Amino acid sequence: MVPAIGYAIREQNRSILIDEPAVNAVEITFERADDPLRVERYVGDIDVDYISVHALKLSPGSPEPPAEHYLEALKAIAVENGAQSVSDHLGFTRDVHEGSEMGHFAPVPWTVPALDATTRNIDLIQDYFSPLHFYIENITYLFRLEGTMSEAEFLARLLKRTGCGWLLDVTNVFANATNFGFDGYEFIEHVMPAAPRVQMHLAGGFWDEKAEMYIDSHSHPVPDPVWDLYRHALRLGGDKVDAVFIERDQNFPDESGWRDEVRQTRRIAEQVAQQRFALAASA
Amino acid sequence: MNQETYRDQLVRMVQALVKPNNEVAVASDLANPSTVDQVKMFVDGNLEKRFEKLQKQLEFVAESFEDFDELLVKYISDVPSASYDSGTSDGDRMLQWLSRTQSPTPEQLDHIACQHARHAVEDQARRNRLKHVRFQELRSMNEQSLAELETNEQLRVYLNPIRTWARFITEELLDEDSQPPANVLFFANGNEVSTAVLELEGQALINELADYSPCTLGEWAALSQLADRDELADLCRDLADMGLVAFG
Repeated sequence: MVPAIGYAIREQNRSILIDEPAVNAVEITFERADDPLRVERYVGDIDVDYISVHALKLSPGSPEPPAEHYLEALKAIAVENGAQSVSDHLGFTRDVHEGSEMGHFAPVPWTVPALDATTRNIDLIQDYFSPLHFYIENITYLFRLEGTMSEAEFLARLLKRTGCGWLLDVTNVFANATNFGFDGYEFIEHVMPAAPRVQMHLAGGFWDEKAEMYIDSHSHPVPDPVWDLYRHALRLGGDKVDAVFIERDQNFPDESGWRDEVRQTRRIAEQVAQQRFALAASA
Repeated sequence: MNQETYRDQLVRMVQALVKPNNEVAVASDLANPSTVDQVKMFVDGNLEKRFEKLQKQLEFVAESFEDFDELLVKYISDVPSASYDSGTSDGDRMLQWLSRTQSPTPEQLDHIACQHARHAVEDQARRNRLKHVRFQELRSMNEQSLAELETNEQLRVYLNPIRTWARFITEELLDEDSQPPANVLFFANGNEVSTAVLELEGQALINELADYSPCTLGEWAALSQLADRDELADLCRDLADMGLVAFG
């Protein structure tokens, strides 16, 4: 089975999403869709098989559950646009209700109390959005907090405890592996068995000479090492992989650039599916 | 560590990372080989995004201040972003901060009032999305509805539910036909915000319709203290043209 494939919707790729045969899925970034004056539904004329709503502020790692009004707003966008799933990031953006917001998610400390809090929140989130599936994304981070287990162990335990899906951001794994010196392939191998279902993100960033870090800026084409890791993840994920989305937020490509990248994403997925089919047939 | 200490850790971290130059406060939380400089990159990136968002959102207000970017930096440094800040809430808080801390001129106050009214319209649309969408759908049929305005006794007049008043105290933002102080109506017009400056009688009729809407023209005429049926029909045509009423 080949997963549904497409882009995170940006105004710059809308025309591609309407007529590109390689696209049969889109991801709605909630904060972009949350334009209160918009009369039409956010997906507009885009007609695809699979739609997911991607949130930024559920803050599943926070000690308190997400606010009701934010859940309601997310659900409204999901329902209005016919989404099958909702996703957010494994991290925290705020301290407590009525408190402060950092603006971007930071990694939780990989500890048991953090795991307990995140589990509690994801259980609540899944209950709220059911029957839509919820996926938790592994984030890229510039720093890590002191913990008692590895990120892969934390994530695998979280997926097992909650039964939620994994939004495997392949580029985030590549960036973190590059910046913090671990094996991205092993990371995916460790976590994948715990995931009941999977979505994937692909993107391209750049090497920051000054910081000596790979920055996941969504500003460049997907680099070759990420394509390789993606192929590996597809082999491991098999039929559990529901959808793959490419993210681009800066330095937008021209029309052929948009089309080429999503065709490449589909071509690799089809190759892996054929290989798996051939292997199964020979067995 | 238990849940309470985890909560304390996150509160302490967020409080340190929502403002510039506090990164060292989380040094003891970092795992090897993470550094305070890396935390600073995270904080600076977040503050830069907040700056750019506010700069874009408050572009109109910025026109009336000579040093708006400096004020933005000061605001961001003084006032942390609040939980679930999205849409216009941070921008609105900055408008309040400007009014409170910068002793704005009357012209600057008008810019602030104008921007605040736009935010209020967006906020109403967010909280009443179904009403907004339904009204705009009805409005798309105004041409055909207006043809029946005086013949169809069942036709009901709907006042645009997404609207708010602002008061301008100077000529700065008024056209030459209007004199300050003036009450200006801000309302959703499709995906945009439009404005209308109405004379006192028009304002009173809008407020009257707000009390009765939705109602038929006949019902409004029977209840109105201000105008007869023909005058109300003419007003409906004008308001329909502006995007303030629809029929159904």
